[in-house]
Amino acid sequence: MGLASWAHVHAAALARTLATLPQVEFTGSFDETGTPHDGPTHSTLEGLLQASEAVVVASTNAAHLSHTLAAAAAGVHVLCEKPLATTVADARAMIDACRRSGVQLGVALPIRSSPAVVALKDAIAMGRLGTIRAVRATNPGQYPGRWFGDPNEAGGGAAMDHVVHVADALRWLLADEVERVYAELGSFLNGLPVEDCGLLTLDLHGGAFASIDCSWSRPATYPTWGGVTMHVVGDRGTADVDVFRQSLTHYDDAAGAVKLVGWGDDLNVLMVGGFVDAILAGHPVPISGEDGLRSLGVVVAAYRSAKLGRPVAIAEVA
Amino acid sequence: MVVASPTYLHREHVILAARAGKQVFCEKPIARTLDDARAMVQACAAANVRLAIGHVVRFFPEYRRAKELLDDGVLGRAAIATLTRGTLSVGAARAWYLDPTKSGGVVLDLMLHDLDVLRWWFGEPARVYAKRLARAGALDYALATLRYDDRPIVQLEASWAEHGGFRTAFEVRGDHGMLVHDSRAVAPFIVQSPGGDARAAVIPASTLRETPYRRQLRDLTERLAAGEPPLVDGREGLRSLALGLAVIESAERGAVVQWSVPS
Repeated sequence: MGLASWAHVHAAALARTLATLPQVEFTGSFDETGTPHDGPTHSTLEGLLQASEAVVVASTNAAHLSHTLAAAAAGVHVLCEKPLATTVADARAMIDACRRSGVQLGVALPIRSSPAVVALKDAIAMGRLGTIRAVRATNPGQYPGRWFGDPNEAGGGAAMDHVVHVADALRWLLADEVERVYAELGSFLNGLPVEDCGLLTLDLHGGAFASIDCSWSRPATYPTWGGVTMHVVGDRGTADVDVFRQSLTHYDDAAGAVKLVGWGDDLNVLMVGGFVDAILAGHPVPISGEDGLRSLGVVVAAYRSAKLGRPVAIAEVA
Repeated sequence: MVVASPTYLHREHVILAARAGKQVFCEKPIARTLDDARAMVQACAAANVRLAIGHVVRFFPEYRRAKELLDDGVLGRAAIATLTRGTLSVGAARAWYLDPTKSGGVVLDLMLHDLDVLRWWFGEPARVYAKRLARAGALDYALATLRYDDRPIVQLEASWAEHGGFRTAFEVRGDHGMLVHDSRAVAPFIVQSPGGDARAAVIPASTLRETPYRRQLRDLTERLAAGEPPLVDGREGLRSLALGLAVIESAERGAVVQWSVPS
């Protein structure tokens, strides 16, 4: 299994994960910029695809389509960085191409792999919270830089970057789909042509509602990149999840900074491992292209809502 | 006269006090309806007495210090802010809280504090979109997004399902940094004992020489003695109530409510 593109900020961690997993033979990587990296380096995407049974696509969001279509044509399974694509049409084309080629398409959404989120799923299944009525979720981070503020490469800003993480987790946790989205977006902090602040309000078909703070709002002096939290209100109890809470506080005089040093499970190892194990067993991958399309629909509805100034049904956009 | 009766009785009690020539301190919300609030403001003006509304969070030092820092411009312009307030429902001891026609539920009881805070910090918002549990009663929970012209975007959370006790929190991100408060992280004194303490926390704990509640009343008596208006007068209380009613309207209609200051 190899790494197609180093454009995404997650690429280095994904390459390390591929090199680490015992059930994976790391076939190396392809970098459009020609930058050398650890492990075998391929000068063309085709070369990497010929050497691999599966790839992680970690390109810009807009290039997910071409990389995934190339992999499907070569008969190579794809674990695609999130969001699956920047448009519903691209996502559908990727799903169709992989289906026709008989390869699996997965989406790199690590939040479902978090033991804290799994514990929440179990608590819901055991009825400890009763019926879930509301969820307030946050997924704020620092502005990632690079192409993430370029609407052509990223397809949007903070909403395109972050919303799918919590949207996918909510769909899974509540076994429900998002029906309607309202979004307030703004470009306030980084002088970007895309939003860096965003607050979404979701209605789910079953009657629950939820909010997602997807902002690139963590200051430069914040002790970590950001985080993912959920406050879950059921009619028999409430639960709180803080996915990256497990950390040491490091007062670092040498760096003149305070840092949080995480010690929880490596979610990339759990996520990529789950994808690989499903491929090896011939089972459906845990988070499919269809799942990726569903969470992308929430993002597309959010942009439409912010433009129109009213709630927008997913059915209007996807 | 301090009026601390159930919300739906404020009108009757405040007008009686005004007609008797008393200066009036009335608990928040000023009233359950705008009509009641307007009648109270008019009655106090006609009787030439002051009307103060108990928006006590303006006397909580963490919110006052944040206001000072925001006014000093340490953050630059605010971009996004979130404010949270949660506790167990107080309805077990006082059933009128559970009747939305009498109390206004979690929005007019709890969220109203933070609606008043954001008006105090940022001024008047442009529009409101809110969600609230459809079931009235003990489980009441609401989320509201308020948008200002240009900026900031504000999210408010109010909960009567905070089983771990009273919690307040806020976060304000501006051009040059961020201010964060969480009441769970700043308690300077904690007691634990076998069996625990089953009493529901209906007000936030305060470990200060002078509680915000006492400070609120002292501030009012000093202002009255000096012939000055109260910090939060009837008109200001009426405006925060109107914003709370806009949150309820948005949640009930499932639609965006454009906000303008009522007359």
